[in-house]
Amino acid sequence: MTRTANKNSVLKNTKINLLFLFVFSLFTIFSLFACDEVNAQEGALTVAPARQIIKADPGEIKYINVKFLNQADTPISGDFNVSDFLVTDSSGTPRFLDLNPEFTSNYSAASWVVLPYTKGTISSKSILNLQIKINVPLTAKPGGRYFGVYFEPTSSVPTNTQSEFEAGTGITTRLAGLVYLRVTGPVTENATVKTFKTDKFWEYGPITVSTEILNLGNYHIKPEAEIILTNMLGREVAKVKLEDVNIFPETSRFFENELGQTYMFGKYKVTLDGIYGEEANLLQAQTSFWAFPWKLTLAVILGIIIVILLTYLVWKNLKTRQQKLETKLEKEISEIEGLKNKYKDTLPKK
Amino acid sequence: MYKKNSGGYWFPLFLFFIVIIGALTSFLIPKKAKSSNFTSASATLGNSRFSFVGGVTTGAAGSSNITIDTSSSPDNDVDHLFPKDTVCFTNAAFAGCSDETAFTVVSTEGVGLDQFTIAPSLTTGLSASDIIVATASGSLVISFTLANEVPDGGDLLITIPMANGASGNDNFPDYEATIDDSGFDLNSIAVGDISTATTTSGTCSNAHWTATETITPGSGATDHTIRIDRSGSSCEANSTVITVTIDSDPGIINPAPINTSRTRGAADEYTLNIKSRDNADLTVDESDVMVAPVEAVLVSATVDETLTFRVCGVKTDLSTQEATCFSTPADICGSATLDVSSYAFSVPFGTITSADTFLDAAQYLTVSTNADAGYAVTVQQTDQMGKDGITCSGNPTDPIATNCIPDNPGDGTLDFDTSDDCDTAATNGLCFSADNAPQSGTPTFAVEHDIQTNDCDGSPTFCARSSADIESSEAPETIISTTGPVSTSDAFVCWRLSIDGTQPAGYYYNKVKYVATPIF
Repeated sequence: MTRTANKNSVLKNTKINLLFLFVFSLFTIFSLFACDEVNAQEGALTVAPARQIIKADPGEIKYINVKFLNQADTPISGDFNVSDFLVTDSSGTPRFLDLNPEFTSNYSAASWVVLPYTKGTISSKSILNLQIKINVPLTAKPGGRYFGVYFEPTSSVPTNTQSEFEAGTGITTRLAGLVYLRVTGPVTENATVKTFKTDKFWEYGPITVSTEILNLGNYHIKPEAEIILTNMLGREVAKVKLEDVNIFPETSRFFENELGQTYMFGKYKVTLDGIYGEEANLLQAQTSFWAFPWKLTLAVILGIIIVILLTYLVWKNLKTRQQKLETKLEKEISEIEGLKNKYKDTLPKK
Repeated sequence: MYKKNSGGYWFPLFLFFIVIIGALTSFLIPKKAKSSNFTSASATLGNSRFSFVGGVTTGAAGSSNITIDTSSSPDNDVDHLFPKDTVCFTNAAFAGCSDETAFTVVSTEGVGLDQFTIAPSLTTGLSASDIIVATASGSLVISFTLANEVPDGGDLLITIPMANGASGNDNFPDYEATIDDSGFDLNSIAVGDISTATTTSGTCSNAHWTATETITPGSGATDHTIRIDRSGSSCEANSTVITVTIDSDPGIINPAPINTSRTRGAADEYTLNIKSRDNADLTVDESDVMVAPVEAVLVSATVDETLTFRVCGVKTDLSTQEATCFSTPADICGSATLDVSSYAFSVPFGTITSADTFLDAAQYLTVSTNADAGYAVTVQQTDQMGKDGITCSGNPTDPIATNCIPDNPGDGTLDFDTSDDCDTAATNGLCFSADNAPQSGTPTFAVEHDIQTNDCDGSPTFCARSSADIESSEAPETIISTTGPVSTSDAFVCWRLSIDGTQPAGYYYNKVKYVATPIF
């Protein structure tokens, strides 16, 4: 009996110890699983001006404003910063150097720029006016400098929910206003028409003209040019204006234009005539092509031939029938005369 | 002899109660966190311009021409007055405005000079002791990330510098001889002018910040304070960002420049103090942030070119994650539903349970601009998705050796600048494509899911590319663009992920950046 009592007692103690351990464990477990709530910093952001051109002298301190408008119902916090950019493609897409460390730029100015702050919050439905100071060095060479002032809302990668296998992508956005700074002084202006071509033969218009203008200067240009189409007689038959775009230094821009009528005949001349730069330098090029709607012409000629042939055939047919009729008539007249002679003695005298 | 084992279960019970009491004590009485700095604290003035305070030399009754005193004031010339500014002529006691009128600056004499003209003309002549005031007021937005929890019953305390000895709430700008002694005027702001916003990855109800803040204007050498009490629950520090906004109506008034030697054009930097406190008013977190009023510069401009950009998340049922973003389409990238809901700032693929299975997500982009050359949106990723964010050098293809989820190679040539089909789930990695969206301003796409480009099949189902990799120095590629102004141009960007069965377990992530700029 003693053993049984002891055994029961030990069992009871064990149960209590286990209960103690369980409860103790509960109280010591205080790590929380994160509740992955949405970090709701959404809303449209606007930058103004999207592009601005300014001039500054070497040694000058210049101030400009870049405004950011938050159209969301909640404030947006983030980083303000400045980065140089280049244009390396023919579409005019800016590439920021801080995101493209392999690029180097001869047109940098970000190191001259002082922002009033680099972190900030734009109130809901409010404009934040960032006043930017540009310290142009006294030794700055004349020409173009290009940088962007941008705002990047704060974001983070999705929260890890501690599962075994998980993945996520954090999304950041950058909205930038571009600044084109002209350091005063004589600049190198040198642009060339690298390509100006169209097909040598066109059956129908309008024709397509491809133009590539290469800017070899140290400041961007915005050529003002026209493409003019003249016929063999030198008469202008069509004209189109080249698109007004900026061409970054040491970069080309491509243009594709259509001009002319549907039906053109003969040799035509296409001329590019324009100016660029502060000195209104000339930009000219020329090419030519033949235009002839040969299929249509062939069809027309064939049609005419067919018509002529048909007409001839009809006429000939008619002529042959006429001749046959005339022959038959002559024969009948001859027969009648013969009969008259044969029976002239029997005919009643008048 | 039977001996009752009476102490057998008393001892564990005793220990049990000790532990309970100890645990309750530690949980009911929050540990006082070691005071630390907030992370990412900042203060932003909506109007960073100094107020103008100058003395009067002459201003005769009936005249619109004012000559200012060129000494001893914060402003000793008209450099910092601009056409259309509003000026008030007050006395040395800052007791109201002369003629109870706010005058408009019509023109100034120029840089370094001392005269300006107003409209309407003065009714009452000014005296040499009068003061010219042009108030610069605006919003103040203070944002900070908690390092430690703010307990229920705690509060936030914001201290804004006030000019020593000034009437810091009389709706006139203040100034002193040094920045340390100078400060802002509260401009009679009321509780309705202050709002608090909270974003968090944990639990912090914004509603438990009081809407009736305690605003205490400073006096003497004591600065202004704004106290925001917390009641109802604690505010957990789990990427919790708190933004306190004093709106611009009426806004706080910026000080005038200090009236001793200072550098024209240099900002005067003022220090604001932010604290979070517990319910015994002991500091939990604290940071100083700077604001810097500066002379404004008159910049003449015509109509600005603007560029507007927005990213919205897409739910699995193709509806917008954020309110009033886009109308739900019938399908996105050929799918009537998605596997993953995205947000404006994240695409959480979440727990992945099946290998060689596509997970599809999408985001909505919209752009507007009046820039005559149009816009471009490029995309880049920091790197491939690495386990716990490790660097994935180059473009790794071995998931086990590198602990990276590679970019999807498609049918063999898929890259950041080459489209290829990303439609075989057994081919693993991350790729993206794009699709038209509801608005009428359709941009030019670099790749569309159902349009053949580069090496995609003739009638592709998911013609795609990978994001340019910053780590590998790959130049960002344009995903959508226009060549002219557009009022609303939009697109869906579709993300697709498939993992290999041998991919080591863990949390893989990267960052993708959309960059919106005007075309040069």
